[in-house]
Amino acid sequence: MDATRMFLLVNFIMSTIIKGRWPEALSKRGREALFRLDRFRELKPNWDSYDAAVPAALALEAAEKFIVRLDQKGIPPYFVSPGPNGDVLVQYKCDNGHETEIWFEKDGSSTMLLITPEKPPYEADLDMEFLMAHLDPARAQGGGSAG
Amino acid sequence: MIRRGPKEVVLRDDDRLLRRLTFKEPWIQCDHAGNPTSAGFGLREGEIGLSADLERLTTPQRSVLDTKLYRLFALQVGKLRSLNLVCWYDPLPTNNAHCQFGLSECVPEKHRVPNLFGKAKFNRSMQRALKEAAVAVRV
Repeated sequence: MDATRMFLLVNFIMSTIIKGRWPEALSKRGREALFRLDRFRELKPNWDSYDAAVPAALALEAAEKFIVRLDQKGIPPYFVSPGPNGDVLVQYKCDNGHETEIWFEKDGSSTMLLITPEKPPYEADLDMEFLMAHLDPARAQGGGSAG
Repeated sequence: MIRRGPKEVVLRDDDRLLRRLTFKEPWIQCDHAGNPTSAGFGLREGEIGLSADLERLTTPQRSVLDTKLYRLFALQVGKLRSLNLVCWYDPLPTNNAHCQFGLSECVPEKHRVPNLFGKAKFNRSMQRALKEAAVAVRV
């Protein structure tokens, strides 16, 4: 099988899996992130060569729900990445230069790191109201659907 | 033959430490643009420091292990020290370039330094600072 056919087959399988699991319409980046998260379940211990643990089921499930929730508000994720302790990182980038890193821990807790250009990052437990104001200030100030 | 390095190496501010990050799809620690993510700089539970290789005692080819699985990023020792991290030489039987960097209060006593700039934490902000300090190395 050549590379193009393989690519089309993988895309077809991926979209079928995602549609089946997540019936809501998601952005392309949202679907990609969910596909990647699902593949994190295949990781074996020491996947990073520095003895990392496999991503925890609780962290993966929390990250999936979070991605869907924000994607449906029009905020797709930038990237997802596994951490070394069973934790999962979901990263967001905005047009206004703001960035956000949400960490889902293996015990089900979550932390947010809000990055604003020219300012030190702000780290705290996940707070949706605060997060939305950071990711989408216009919507938060206008009292839109964010929350 | 086992390669033996010097027994003690003093790390200079202009030294660079090389760290591997997984980039193989889909569990990559480097984003679409090839930049590292903060996830590549997390401290494992129970560990006192992050592992890396001293650039002047190895080669990128040796340090990266497998170019199909990993990419290599460099962190300057001076930059790590400015983040209140301590770097020390920690050779392994299989890797004489091995070093670690971590918080001063957690590292072996002989490597500790007075904390002049307040207490640093190895939290998510520290991981982010490391990500921003990391420079891609061509292998």
